[in-house]
Amino acid sequence: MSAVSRENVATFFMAVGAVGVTGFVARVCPTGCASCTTCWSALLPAGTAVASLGLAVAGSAALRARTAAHNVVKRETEVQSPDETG
Amino acid sequence: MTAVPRSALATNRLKRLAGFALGLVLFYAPFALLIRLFGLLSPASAAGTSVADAHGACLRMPLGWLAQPWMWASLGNNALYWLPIAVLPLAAVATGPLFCGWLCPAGALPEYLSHAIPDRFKFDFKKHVSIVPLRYGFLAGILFVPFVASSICCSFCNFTQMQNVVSAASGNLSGFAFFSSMGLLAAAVWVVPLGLFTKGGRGWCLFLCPAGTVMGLASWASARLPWFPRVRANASLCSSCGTCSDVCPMRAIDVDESDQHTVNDHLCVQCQDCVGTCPTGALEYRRPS
Repeated sequence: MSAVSRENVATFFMAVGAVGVTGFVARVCPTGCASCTTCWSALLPAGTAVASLGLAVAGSAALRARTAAHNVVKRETEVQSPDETG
Repeated sequence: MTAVPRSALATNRLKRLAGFALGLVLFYAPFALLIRLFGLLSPASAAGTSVADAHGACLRMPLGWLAQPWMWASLGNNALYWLPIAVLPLAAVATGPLFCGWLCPAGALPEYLSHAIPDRFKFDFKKHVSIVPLRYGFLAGILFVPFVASSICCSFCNFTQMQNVVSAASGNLSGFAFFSSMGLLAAAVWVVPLGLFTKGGRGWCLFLCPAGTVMGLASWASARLPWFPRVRANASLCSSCGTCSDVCPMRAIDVDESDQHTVNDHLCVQCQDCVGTCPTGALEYRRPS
């Protein structure tokens, strides 16, 4: 896999999106104080952060599994093709 | 896999533990000796406006100021901000991110706690996700978000969580007050799923620390230059036993198609746990040959 593959680019933007969603929710938090420490309303951006970061990691895992499966199929095709053409 | 030379690993981990204790004294209140030293150079500190704690090494705030140009004046009148912006990244260029591997207690706490949990209960992110693009994606998000939404606040930062732990442990009871709501959730994520139950114990460092990511980028960008030492693998000596990969807290050992092990300069924090444990001496902290 090259250093900058489609999988890596997609993973990168999923992570950007996860932080973006968290920042957006922090902005629309009812308190609007942007100092989410002891305020219980801050559980909204905090929960969003955990969920979106988890989704980004899960998305990366799914992309990697898909790429690995694709590579296996590709390798098998390459191994079989000499017999088929010969 | 061959047997890991555990005594070498234990010795290196003890040395690093001494380094983390030094980091605690240098960066964290109530000591914060290095922060206080930088503060002495700063008019803002002289006016009593700087806080001598881990916030002095905060990179997130200066990154957020890219979207807040009116804050740039802070860079001129407070020498503290040059520590995370310039000193730590330049040190990472020269030596690799030794700060992360040898001085940062916020990275060390979950790493060392995770040694108490058997590996079979831990999740190895390296096996399942692409760590490097996720890491840079989260950094890009932290840079991008202040332009369009709210800045990501201190409660998401492991420096803050560690400072609260140290404050509470040193008798400042207000440190406990931060372990509620979002602070509690962030601390729990930092220590439990991304610490105790992550292979290596440094899940937060891998994904969510902007200072570590910037230093990793600086280290990678300068790793090929002839003057700067890094942990490097000698392919001719590598027996592909996998010991280095097993002990690496940052999951920074890559295995190529010919089963050779190489060090990923984006992730390696130069902790050198792998150097002493490699049974064939294939790993060294040295300049490029």
